[in-house]
Amino acid sequence: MIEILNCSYLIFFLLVFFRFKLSDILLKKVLLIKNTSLLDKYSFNILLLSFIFLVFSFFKINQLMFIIPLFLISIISVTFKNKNLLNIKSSFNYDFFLIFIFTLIISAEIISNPKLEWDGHIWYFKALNFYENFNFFNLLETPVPAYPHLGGVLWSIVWKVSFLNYEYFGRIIYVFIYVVSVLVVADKISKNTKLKITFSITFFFLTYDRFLFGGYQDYLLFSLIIIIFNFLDKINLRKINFHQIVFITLSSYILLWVKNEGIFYFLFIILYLFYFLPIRKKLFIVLLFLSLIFIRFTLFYKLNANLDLSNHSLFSDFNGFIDFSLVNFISEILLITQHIFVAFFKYPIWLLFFVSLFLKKIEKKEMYILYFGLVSLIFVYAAFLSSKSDLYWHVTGALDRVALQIFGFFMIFMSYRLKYFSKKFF
Amino acid sequence: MSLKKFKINIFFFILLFLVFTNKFDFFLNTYIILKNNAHSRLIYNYGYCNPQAYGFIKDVYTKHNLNKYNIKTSNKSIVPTSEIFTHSYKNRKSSYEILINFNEKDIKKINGKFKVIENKQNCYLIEYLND
Repeated sequence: MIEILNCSYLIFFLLVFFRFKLSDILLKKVLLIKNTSLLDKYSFNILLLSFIFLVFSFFKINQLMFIIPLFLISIISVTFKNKNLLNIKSSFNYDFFLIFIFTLIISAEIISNPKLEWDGHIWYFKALNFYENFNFFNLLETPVPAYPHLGGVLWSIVWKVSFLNYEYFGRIIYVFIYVVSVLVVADKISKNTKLKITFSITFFFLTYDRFLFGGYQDYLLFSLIIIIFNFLDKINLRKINFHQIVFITLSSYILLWVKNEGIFYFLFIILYLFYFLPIRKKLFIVLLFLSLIFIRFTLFYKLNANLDLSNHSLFSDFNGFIDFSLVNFISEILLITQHIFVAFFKYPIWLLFFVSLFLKKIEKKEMYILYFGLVSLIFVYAAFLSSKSDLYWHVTGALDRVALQIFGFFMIFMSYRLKYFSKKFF
Repeated sequence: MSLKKFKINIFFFILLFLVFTNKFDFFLNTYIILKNNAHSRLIYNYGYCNPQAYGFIKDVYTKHNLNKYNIKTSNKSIVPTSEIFTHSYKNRKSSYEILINFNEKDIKKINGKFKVIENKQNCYLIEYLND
């Protein structure tokens, strides 16, 4: 019983903590609108606070010194300022309730079956590092120092805040962010509570994989991409201002601190933004992008004393081009293609995506999905073809997860499609 | 809202709730959490000795008061490391080793002098003597 209570307390903690009201002014500056939804506020604070935690992770400080005052400020501001817990006009906010219920139901699965899966063991040591108040530079002691650490930082924070000292309570944050991201998409489809619940449950059914809550970082990446894309969708990219450019760039920068693939997702988003900008702003974003990448590689260089990309397990086998064999190359392409199809069935949200493409033609304003589809496909083939490990092992173990992460780029597109269909049918 | 509409809404939400909870085995999970404490659930998931020896490791750590040490673990099965159960970046190294899923033949193949401190099923806590 105490574990269920602890889980409920942690979800409530996250609901209050990520409803950090002081950031509302920043959000208004970014979205340039007065009324923002509760889900937008949660999404914004997830990005903002994750970035702050990322910065703090480079210093040797006890994160609780930062979390507790922030939590107290949050709880005071949401309770007293407007005498309305969430400062929402309606007397009862369904989003708050839905986040709580969905997170509780999914988290119960983690608590009942707390096993860390294979890669979860690697990420666990990163969380442990921050749980024991060490900083980024101690990550050399962890099994794979070249892996980024933001997921571990977030995991360690909730683990620390938990009354019960078990690592699996820390993983509730992944569920929380996943639930918020799914609700963001459902909220775009319909404001009708019944439809919103139906669509969010459908999304959970089509994207959920218990295995990935066993310490993997893929849901975090998937959810953050959805949240960033939701903001990209709300901003008028043709009239984007400097605040918005900085916000989108720094938010996307978080991705490359979650997993190494994030470097490419960050690049995809920056290139997409680059397309819409006038020359002066293009220069600004290029400089910002290069400085952020430079910071990332310098920090890892300091950690590993090796700036070589091969240590980041990306595009590692350049020697493979010397003994190139066309037959091998074709069989590798076929193997990757086969497993791309397998991944579509593993996460059936992809099948819904293809059905929606079949039922309705892509409009001009939706052309961006062709860009993301193309770069994602190139990325998948390039990453797996350059794999140093046995390709069969790599493809069967990782490609489905990459397919899930990538789908984050298409979730907002899906929301518009489903909105169109739901208007037709309901 | 009319009573009929209200009843339909309630029915709809209950139905959705049941579908969702069923998908995530919420009631079964709650039952498991209420019936078994964290320690027994972790033993169920990681095993007492096989595959990852959570129960054995926790037992020897308590029995021999090893909480301030990091002990290397070796597992004959292809499973992830069992060091997650006890590792701390603040702990000291030790001359102990935990052997998991080792049979007698495997034990004999180990180089160096050691003594077996604890043995249950195919799990051993050994201490190296020659340092």
